[in-house]
Amino acid sequence: MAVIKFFANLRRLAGRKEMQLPAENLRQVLERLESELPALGAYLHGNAGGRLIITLNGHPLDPAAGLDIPLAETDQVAIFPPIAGG
Amino acid sequence: MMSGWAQNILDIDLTSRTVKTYPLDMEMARQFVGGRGLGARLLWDLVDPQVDPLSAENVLIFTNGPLTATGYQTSNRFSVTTKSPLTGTILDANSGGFWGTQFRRTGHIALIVRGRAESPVWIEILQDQVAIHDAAHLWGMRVLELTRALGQDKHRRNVLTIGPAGESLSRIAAIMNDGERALARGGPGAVMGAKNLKAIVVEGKERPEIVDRERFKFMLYEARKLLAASPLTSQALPEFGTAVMLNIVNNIGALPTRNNQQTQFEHIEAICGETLAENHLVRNTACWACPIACTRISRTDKIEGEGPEFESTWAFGAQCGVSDLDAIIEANYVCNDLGLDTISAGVTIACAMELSEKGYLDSDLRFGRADLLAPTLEQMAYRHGLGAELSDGSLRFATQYGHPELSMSVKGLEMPAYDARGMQGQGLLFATSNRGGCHMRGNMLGLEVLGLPKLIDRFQVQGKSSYVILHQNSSAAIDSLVLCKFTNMGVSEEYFARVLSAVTGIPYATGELIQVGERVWNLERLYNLRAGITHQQDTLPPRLLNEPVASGPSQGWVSHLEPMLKEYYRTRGWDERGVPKPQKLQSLGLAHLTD
Repeated sequence: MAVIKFFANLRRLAGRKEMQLPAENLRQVLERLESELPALGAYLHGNAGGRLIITLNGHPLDPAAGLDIPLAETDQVAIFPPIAGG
Repeated sequence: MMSGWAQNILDIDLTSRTVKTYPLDMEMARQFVGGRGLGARLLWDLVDPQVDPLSAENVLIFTNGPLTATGYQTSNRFSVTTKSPLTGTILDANSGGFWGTQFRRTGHIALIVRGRAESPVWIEILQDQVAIHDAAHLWGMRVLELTRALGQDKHRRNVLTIGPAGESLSRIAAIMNDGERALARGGPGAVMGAKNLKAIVVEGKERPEIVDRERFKFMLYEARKLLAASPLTSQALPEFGTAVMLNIVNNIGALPTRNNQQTQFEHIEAICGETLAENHLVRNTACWACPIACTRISRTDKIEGEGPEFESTWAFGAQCGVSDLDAIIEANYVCNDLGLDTISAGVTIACAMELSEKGYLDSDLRFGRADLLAPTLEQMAYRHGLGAELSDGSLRFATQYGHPELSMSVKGLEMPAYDARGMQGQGLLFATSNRGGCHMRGNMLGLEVLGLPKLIDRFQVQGKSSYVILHQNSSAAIDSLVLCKFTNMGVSEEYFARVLSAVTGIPYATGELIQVGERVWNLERLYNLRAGITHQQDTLPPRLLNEPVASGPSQGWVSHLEPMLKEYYRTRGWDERGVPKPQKLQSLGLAHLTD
């Protein structure tokens, strides 16, 4: 199962730092998060939800590339809300 | 009608103890706007690029801009421009807080400090009155104590000072304002110390004139809505501050760790912004007229104070292999109180740690020695023991011990929290920065990692120069207004141009504002060339060019600087040796300066 890691305020909304999810692709990950974690699901449907930063094994994913990205058992998905700084 | 700008330049010669005031050249103001741009233009006329930065011939130029103190969001910032004692380049550093607003209210767009006082002095600038006071009794005081002693009052009277580091001419000494804000990088505190100038206190009453007040008020309202609507400026920065960046930069394998020997820190969870917020945050706070409020007030069992920011947390944390967040917070606090640049201090200590571990230096410094951070910083500020050598930054230190390649610096300025091997464009940006390794002369984080405004391949080499140049020019323009770059996350440059037009009555188009940035960038480049800093210094430490990242998401990568650099010079309109071509200077209105 892929490991899903949460950061910043997503940790509070998810009630955890990480979890494991059986999912064939990234779209399924987000769908399962929405159904299993209501507070996080509400956030994902809001204004900021469309601007998530997602990395797969440390590589930022381009939202324009879509969510049908297949996941392997050992994959790590990191999900960040819109953040900035420096 | 032209307005917005404070009308006068205050010019103080500490050698002769004379004070002059004269009007701002409005054509110069139009061309360079204020802040960093105006400072660069004034320095061009005032300081021979060949002078010793710590001699009386160098000057300090404090500037604000036409938006300063207008109440526009983040219109609190101000700049200092000088020749850097750390890098030998032109140096601009800017800071927030409250001092800049108060400085503008004294009716001055710029303060030039020349010469050197015979004995320690401090300057008091009141409405229509300037005094140079004896500071013998203040010399030696630390920043927080001195700030209180000179009557700091957040909204009425504001103190800018150097700490012991500036007094001892540490080349990484900061100038501090309002207690814990810093003009940090490149050693401006040492220039102030060399002038025997301990502090500058400002207290003014003048309100900026705004030409089109109705339009300005509407734009203020609009900007407030835009910043409130952006999750960056209304959620992420207020809740977690800049330290929220630690996890993502680490996640992608671009967080310099143990003097850039690795690019991921295994103890990131112990020092990240989320842990800081959960265990140490007292409250967040804001600079004048800032709705974002990214500043942290943090607490440990020993201290309570501002910070630490992302860069400071990284410099004393991952870069020094330290996972003790209490020690990091305390190191940041000590740096502020001593008047030291946290990035340069942390990276210099990390350099010494690697030298020690490899047997090139006989010291107890080792990666992970959290207990040695604060004592080493004290030694650096007072130039005691090994601190006497560390006090001048990592490049001089590593060179002294025969291994300059272990200094993680560009042009002598320690690089910030991004490893160029994992962000190719960021490497080009560091290599070409006019003040050395710096993330505030533009930053590729948005494009290469965060997808702001879109995501581009961080490992791609071809085509990166155009993005880097755009960011560099934009940052120079924002630094000339002077605004905080964080407003740019909710509000675009087009918006800044409209606000500038409303305040000054001059119709600036977006392209013109970006061209101001390009003009400033090229002028800084010309100054550096005259100082003897050429294309040969547009480079990165050998480690980043030759040692592939050993593990993690950036595994196998080095910085492919050379092809990017060639493309960069060409795109900038410079020749192959990085010299601006005459037609480029002509188009920017700079040709007459090189005649």
